[in-house]
Amino acid sequence: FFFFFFCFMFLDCIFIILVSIGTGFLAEGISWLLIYRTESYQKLKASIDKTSKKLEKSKDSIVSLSSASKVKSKGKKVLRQEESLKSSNTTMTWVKMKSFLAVGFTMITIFGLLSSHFDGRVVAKLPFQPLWFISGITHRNLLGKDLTDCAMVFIYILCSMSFRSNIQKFLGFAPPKGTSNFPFLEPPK
Amino acid sequence: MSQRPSKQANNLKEKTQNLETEEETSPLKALFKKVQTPKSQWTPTELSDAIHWMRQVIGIICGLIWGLIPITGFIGNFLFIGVNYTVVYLWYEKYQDIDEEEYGGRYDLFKEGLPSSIALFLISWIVSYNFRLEYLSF
Repeated sequence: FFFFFFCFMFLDCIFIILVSIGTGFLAEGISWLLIYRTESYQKLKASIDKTSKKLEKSKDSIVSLSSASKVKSKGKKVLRQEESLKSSNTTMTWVKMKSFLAVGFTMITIFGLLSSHFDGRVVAKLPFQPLWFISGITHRNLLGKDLTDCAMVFIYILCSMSFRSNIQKFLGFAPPKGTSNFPFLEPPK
Repeated sequence: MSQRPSKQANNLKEKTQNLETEEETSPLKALFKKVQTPKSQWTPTELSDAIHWMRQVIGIICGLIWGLIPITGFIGNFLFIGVNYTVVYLWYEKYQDIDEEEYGGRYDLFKEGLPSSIALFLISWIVSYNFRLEYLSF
């Protein structure tokens, strides 16, 4: 009995991972269709890349300057470039808004389907005891008190976090340097 | 009749040239080659890409090993972060001889690719652990 239990559980886990990878590619496909292939996005991206490179060069050249007046004028140039970069990034966010909505809707639908299919089912055993604030996610809708039983939600969230950003980076659609998928890791400026 | 062999030769030449061009311009291959070459010259973007992909590979390998041994308990997470940090640090500090201040500092290099690496590590740890439970225990 335990053999068959683990057999189906392992296959469920693999299935969720494969669906998550497929969803990642689908999300990027939708983004490409709605945004990445448009001229406005490509021009904006080129402009952001160009401004980022100029900004890096300006910041590097400040270090080598000796006179205070030159440092001051270079500093103003850096500020202007930073403002320009910030405004381009804001415009980029608005341009991407269409795809955010479409991708969001798709992912919610797929998540809903998976959730209803795997509701109440243990899809994996965790090799560690989860912390109290994570056990609400890992043990969602599961019976029993064994906290190493893992529900679909946790696996799906982990897959989304790992595969989505890697697929974006692999396909060359990663957000430009200076913006991030995980802004909570950015130190306060 | 004499035209056919020269046409085939031309086609073969074109295909070889295309392959060579593809090999030259494949960014991941070029990056992989650069990672293996000691004391390479890095732009900030190239270095952050290299560190990102290294962290993902370390995440997958550590997850598979931790699951198959198996290493259980929360200590596995701390062990992974330690291994991940150490390997990448030794690579850019000793092997590539990079001054981390030139590329944004230690914190910037540390967080490059870290969240997705941790998630990938957890996935591969869970999968290999469950694989071991299913196939290696019965």
